[in-house]
Amino acid sequence: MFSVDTRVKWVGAFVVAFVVLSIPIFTWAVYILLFSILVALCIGSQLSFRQVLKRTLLLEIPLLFILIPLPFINRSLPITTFSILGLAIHISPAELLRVVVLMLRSWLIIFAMVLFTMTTPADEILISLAALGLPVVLVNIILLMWRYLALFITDLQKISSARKLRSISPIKGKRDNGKKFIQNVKSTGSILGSLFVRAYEQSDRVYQAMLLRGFDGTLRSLKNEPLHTTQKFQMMIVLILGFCFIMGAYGIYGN
Amino acid sequence: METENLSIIQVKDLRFAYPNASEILSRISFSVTAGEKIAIAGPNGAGKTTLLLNLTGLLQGTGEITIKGMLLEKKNFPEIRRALGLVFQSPDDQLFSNRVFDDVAYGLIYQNMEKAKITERVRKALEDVHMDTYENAVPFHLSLGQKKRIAIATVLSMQPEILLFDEPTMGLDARAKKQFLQIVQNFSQTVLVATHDMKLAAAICDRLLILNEGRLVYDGAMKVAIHNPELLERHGLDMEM
Repeated sequence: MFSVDTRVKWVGAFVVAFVVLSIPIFTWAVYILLFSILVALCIGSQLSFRQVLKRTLLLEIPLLFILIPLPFINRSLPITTFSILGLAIHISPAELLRVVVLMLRSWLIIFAMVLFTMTTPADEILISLAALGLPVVLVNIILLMWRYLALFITDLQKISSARKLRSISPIKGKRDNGKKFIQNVKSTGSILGSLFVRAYEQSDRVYQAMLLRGFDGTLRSLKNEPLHTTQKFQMMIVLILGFCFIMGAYGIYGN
Repeated sequence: METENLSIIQVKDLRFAYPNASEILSRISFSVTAGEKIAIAGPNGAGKTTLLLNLTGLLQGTGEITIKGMLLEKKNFPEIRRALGLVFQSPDDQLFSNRVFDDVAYGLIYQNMEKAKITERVRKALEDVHMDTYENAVPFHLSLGQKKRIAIATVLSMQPEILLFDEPTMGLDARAKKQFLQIVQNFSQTVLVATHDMKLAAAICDRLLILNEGRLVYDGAMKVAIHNPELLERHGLDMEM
């Protein structure tokens, strides 16, 4: 996966999303097949499955919170009633199954996206986004933000350490009437302010360095090459596969 | 007149002031002959960095600057900036890619060079600064000395005729300073080094410009200046630094 062109990977991720969203909802065989392919790609790319799983769950959990009330709110028949601590709870098993499938569908899409991002450097993803029509200025801003994030974190750590070294905790047990809290809020404010000024000044200098090396507002990269025949072929295979999945799903499960 | 024809840089009556501030550069005039190695020395706030930024056109004061016979104005910027490379004081301002290779190749990509030629130039530049094994390294993870060398490579890859260095040894340990010295001594290009490290200046340059409070107070042979402790002291400089 690491050696595959970013644009091919984009197409792959979109095809997975399109297939998952297009097929009938209870198409278990297709879900299992897609999952197997994604796991195979994960293993083939020598990525830790645990790591991939962790990242997908990180994105999946917020969705769970959105979907979880559905079986309790939506009263599709039949309804099962049970009681917890004397409280009668009505639940629709059909809705519950629907939620499980929805979770599975979203998880498959997230899996494909995580696989894509874990096998592609951030700048390549962004540059390919520009090729897909995202404004160059926006891509440049995000690219620089991404590149300098590590630097600002280091700066933040330095400033925070300096603050810690200069702040003395009040004597244990002695009430400070919230003074420490106010002091913390104040110093956090000044840290953020100072970080902002540093970031602003550095951005100015980076821009100057870019100008001196010929930057003209356009985004150029060694990876901005036209698609080769191999890549076109790979894209075609992915698209055909996606089409087969959709046709197969409708063939087996109908509407 | 003959000197003017030979000079690669001509600065006439340059003045510069930041908005709402007093003049940082005041009536600066000098010329540089191709191949010369010149130190621009002076205490903090003397205007050394501002002078270098004016030479690149990043800051624009009044007066006249010509680089390789071209007047420093917007329409000549692309040509002039191809001829001139500036190594910033902090390498973090200059290194903004995820890979050393991409950083060194950055300027070449904007020159629409072929990929094979870019690779060749990048490798040569990295070899010149003894960092050829760091092609795939992440610039942010390198030591300050290594970052500085990569920053030099980003400029060298563009093969400029004039190299400008802003406080190149600031924050470097003795070994890194020595490495920098070895690298710069091999350059055949015209070199201007803004520094207050007089030992470094004396080791690299034959000519010295001293700036103090925005004025050019000395323009002459390095040898003469370093044997004149009174002159150095008067302008906040010291050979022992």
